[in-house]
Amino acid sequence: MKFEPMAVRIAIVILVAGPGIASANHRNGCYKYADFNINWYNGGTGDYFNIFEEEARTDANAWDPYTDVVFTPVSAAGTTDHINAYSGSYGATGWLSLVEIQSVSGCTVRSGRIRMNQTYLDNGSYTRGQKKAVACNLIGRLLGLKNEAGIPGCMDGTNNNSFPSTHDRDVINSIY
Amino acid sequence: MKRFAVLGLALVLGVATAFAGPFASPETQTVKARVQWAEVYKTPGELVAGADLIVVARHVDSQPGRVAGDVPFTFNGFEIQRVLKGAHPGRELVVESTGGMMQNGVVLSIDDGGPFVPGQRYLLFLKAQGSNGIYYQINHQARYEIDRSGLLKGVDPADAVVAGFNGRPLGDAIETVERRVRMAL
Repeated sequence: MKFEPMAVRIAIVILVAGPGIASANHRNGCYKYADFNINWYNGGTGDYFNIFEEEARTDANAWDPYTDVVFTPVSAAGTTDHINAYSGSYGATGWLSLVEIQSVSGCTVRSGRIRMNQTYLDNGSYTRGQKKAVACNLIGRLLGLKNEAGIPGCMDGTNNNSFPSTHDRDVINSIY
Repeated sequence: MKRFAVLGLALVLGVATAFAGPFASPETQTVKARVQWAEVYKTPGELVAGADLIVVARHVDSQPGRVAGDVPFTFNGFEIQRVLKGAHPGRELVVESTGGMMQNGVVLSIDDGGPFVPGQRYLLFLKAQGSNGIYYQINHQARYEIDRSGLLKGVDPADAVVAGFNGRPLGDAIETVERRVRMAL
């Protein structure tokens, strides 16, 4: 059997059952970007553009200023060290948001995509704060975290907190 | 119909290959995305109450559906064998699911249990998309395969609601669902 070099492969991605380390520190397996410099493409529309910006870069406790990761805004979606963020009315699908690792080499994420479904989020049932919490959670997942109940923060899965917890920050800083 | 069956097989093979590990063939790349569900229930009773339509149905075929912002959807055809809640005219049922072949040839699958298997029977908890007659699976708690011995197999048995149905005989589950429907009337 011939194995192609991992660096040139776009590997198959399984977020749930991927290789890796268990969740004592609520990491999502071993997945992480290559380093702390990550290209940030914001394809959100309307206020969702602002929500993504606030959660990624501009709020005082957004992922970029609050942790060691550095988001570099880029004008187009990409596949090299990218987070690509989108919003849209995807219809009555059952889901509020979707996160996917688009390409990965071993444990190293090359690009990921997050989506917020305005069909639900704009139906009057969700506050702006809850939308921010969803955006914060999506970014945290791509950075390498999974939900962990009990620690107030956007990774607690409640949609009540629109900021990373100090625990989230510490875990992120330990892996980047 | 043959086209639908071929697509369904492709989706099944794609996901099966994904689970084979990182050295699987690149020709069948599958991206498995995770979603945050709009509604997640704490009890089986809430799940029954939240569904517009609850059925026992056999999956017949699948065909590509709409594409919204690069997200592909799939229309899944079912033959209804029993309606436990709600009303649906006829025996044919269409359930839209998120996932399918994306423009770059990669298959997108979400954590709803993946592609339906043709010929497989399911217990499904569904919501109506609107007035178009199409339904969608509410969440990961809303789908149970029925194995040959009539036992239910849920998507995530660690979930408390799924655990309430997982491994139980279909007849027991039907009795539970119908009792809760009667209680709600």
